[in-house]
Amino acid sequence: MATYSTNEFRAGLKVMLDGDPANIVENEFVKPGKGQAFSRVKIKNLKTGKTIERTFKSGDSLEAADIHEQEMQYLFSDGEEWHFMDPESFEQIMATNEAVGDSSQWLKEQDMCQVTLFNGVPIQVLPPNHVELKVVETDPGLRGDTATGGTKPATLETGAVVKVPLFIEEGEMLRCDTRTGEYLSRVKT
Amino acid sequence: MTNPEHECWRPGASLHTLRQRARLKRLLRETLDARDWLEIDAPVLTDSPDFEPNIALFRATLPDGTPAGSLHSSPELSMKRLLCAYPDLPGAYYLGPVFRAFEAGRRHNPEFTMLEWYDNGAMLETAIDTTITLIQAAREAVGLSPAPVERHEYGVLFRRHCALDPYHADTLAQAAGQHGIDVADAADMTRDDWLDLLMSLVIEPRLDPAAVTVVTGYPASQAAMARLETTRFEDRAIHTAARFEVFGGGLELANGYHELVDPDEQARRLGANGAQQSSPSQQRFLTALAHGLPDCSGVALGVDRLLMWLTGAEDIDAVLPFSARRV
Repeated sequence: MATYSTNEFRAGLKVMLDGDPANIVENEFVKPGKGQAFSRVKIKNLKTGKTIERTFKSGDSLEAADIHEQEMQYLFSDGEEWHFMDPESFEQIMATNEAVGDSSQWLKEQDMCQVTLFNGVPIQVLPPNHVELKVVETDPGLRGDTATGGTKPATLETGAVVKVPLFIEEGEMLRCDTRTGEYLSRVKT
Repeated sequence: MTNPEHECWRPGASLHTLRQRARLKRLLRETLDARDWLEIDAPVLTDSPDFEPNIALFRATLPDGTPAGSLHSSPELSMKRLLCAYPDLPGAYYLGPVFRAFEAGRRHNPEFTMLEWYDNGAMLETAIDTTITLIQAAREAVGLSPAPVERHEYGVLFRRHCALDPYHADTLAQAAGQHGIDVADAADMTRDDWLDLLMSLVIEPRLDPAAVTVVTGYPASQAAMARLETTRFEDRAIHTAARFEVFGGGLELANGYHELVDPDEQARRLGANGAQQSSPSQQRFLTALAHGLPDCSGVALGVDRLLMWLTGAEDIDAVLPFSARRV
């Protein structure tokens, strides 16, 4: 496997750190006075999602991580594994609950997702930024109340719970932002 | 720090900043010329001139691949040889490019502009005064009022900000850890490596952003070409270098030595420092020292850094016409 030296470090580089794949977020060159040069790196562990800071002596190197990001279609979940398909090769892969994590609450069959593969195995799944999902449970709507600005929780078909305006009814389709977990609008059907 | 490729044909610096840059260089030359100092065109292409273990050189090659020397990382050896040959010169300076491989970041460009001067007969205090005078004159030239000057001992700064004695403490790694500095593969870190990290990451950011700060009392191990002094810190004898650093806010601007003139001690310390002494220019330098270097102080001032501080630039790219990211 290839290695990267500190002078090749840059944002977006995928490397192995402490046995896990990681993404370099930021690299700051530090060289004090007449002394040794260092790279101060902000680096995100792609398995745990945690970002840490680590200082490397100039000339140190890290092994490259075999990381690919790919658009894949979500097919279905059997409760233990989540099944995705490459829309071009029709090849199917399975992701664990751990890899899917909190994204599971937004995953709707047929939607296109961003899957991160490490050595060919999914380690992270990101839902589309915007999804359209049906309300399966919420308190009865206050018809005509579009002005008071109050909110109530609504449970969506994929499991996510979002705050919605009081006039939203069960069975309606909502457009939501998965990055913020916020309701955006009703979808006219 | 990254610019989209379609913008990289443009200069990083505004026209206003480039005018300030030209004015700054003019001011530095006029001030030193007025002292009857001589501007020297030190050779940029030399053989391997550097005695600094922590600086990587750009190597030059002939078209057929034969090694042809390297680009200088400092004009120091040339300038000192010149003073050895012409000891009646009151002073000499170099204002031009120097090169340091791999040094690229917000505060570093691999090619940068250095003002380096040697003041014949000057003690360290005189060199500090000259440095402050030049910085204040530069501020005035760009319409800024003089900055307050702070003076700190290296040991006092470490005591205050890192709660330790930098000359003796064996808890440098722990202190770094307490400040969130997590070093990969720390086994081969030297004392000076830890001190440098603490200085850069803990102390520099805590220096007064509006002030010019002068730091003296650097450990003897951190200045291969300066005289050594024995002094005291917290009632213990310590060995320090006759060295100072000047910071503008937390930005390192200049470094100065009361220069070592003893050829035997110089050769011994360079050897102990792990530097090779095989190249002709290095041998010629030691021969020149044997001939006699006048008692002098030398200072290197980063012109791009000074302009960064004067203009409030966060990135060196904003004070250069074309930084390495744009060439």
